[in-house]
Amino acid sequence: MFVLLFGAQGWFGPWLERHDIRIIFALPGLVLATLFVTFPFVARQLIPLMSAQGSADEEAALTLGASGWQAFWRVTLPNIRFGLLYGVLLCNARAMGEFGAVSVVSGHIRGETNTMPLQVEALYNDYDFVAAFAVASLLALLALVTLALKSALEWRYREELAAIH
Amino acid sequence: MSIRVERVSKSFSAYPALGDVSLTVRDGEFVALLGPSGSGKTTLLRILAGLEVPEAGKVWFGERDVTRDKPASRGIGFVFQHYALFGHMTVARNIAFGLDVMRRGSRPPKRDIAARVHQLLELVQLPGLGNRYPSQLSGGQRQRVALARALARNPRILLLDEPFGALDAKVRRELRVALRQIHDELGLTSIFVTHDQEEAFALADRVALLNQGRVEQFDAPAEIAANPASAFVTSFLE
Repeated sequence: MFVLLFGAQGWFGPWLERHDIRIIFALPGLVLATLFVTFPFVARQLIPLMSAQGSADEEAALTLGASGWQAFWRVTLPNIRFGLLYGVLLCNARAMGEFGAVSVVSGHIRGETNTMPLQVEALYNDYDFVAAFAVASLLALLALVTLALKSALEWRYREELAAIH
Repeated sequence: MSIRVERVSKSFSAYPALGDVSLTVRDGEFVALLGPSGSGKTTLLRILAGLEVPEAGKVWFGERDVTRDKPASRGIGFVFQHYALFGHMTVARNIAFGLDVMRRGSRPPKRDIAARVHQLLELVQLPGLGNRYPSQLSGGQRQRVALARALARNPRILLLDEPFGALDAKVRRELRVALRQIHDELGLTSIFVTHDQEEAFALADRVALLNQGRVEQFDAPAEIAANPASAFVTSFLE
């Protein structure tokens, strides 16, 4: 989809080219593609939480004289902070391992548009198995760190999470 | 401050919640909105607070037309049935919220806010609990905190949505007395919603009886008991 939108033959492609803005096969493309596949994780986390909490707190803030922004920053955001943190963590885990979408958009320019999973593939295709497995191990290690963080968060904020499920 | 509701109507997706309601509350009065669930009493209260906008009709506070005003600018205090305290803030910060969100120019200095919080905690008879979190308080204490928070900016009008609905009978009676005292002491104009007839009659100067989005009768409790205006009033009082 991003290639269709921003690629050379895409809707915005010619305009972007004229203005010398590179999205596809460059860093912004990677970021966009990653956001696209990972944001649902944050949303999935927050939507049930927010609908369970209802809007009474926000209404209370408004009747106390807060503006919409103040209600959001001082009441809504703190209320969902753990759900948000948890979502960001899941999102981060997904972003680290994301292969498909990023692979299409990045164009495999070494040293420029690369992510760890893409690096594993590239090294493997070069028959550099040792390096490939080293990077893969590093990825696995990061996954373990994420898992540990997730468990720690779950333990610390178990009551708030119980409200979601 | 007097409150005038002028031919207000409101419906929720084709289902009418309020039909052509008119009501005048005198300055300093304590009024109960009484009725079965679905009678529109909470909707009327939320319209007064600015949390709902009526489809037709006007709302006046004193000489001011507030029909389209935001809740923040109406000068009201609102107390919710389930307290709606901010769980991540201490009791003191909860009470100070209304003052903390004021614009820098008009916001009182920190020392004055602290003094005001102290004074409000005394008023609701919870001195020294400022550093607790709402989750560490009982239901009755939470509702007292919610009341103190609603009064922080010195509103002239206090609106309460089933304020005792979630409390047991004993706490309810205590809080009733406290509320009436605060109302008289501060010279507020208060409107509270309830479905408990005994509570409405014990507490209010006048009671507005609502049924299916209409006011059936609006009178002093003794007058309603002596001269019920309709068959509905008679049956509701039984």
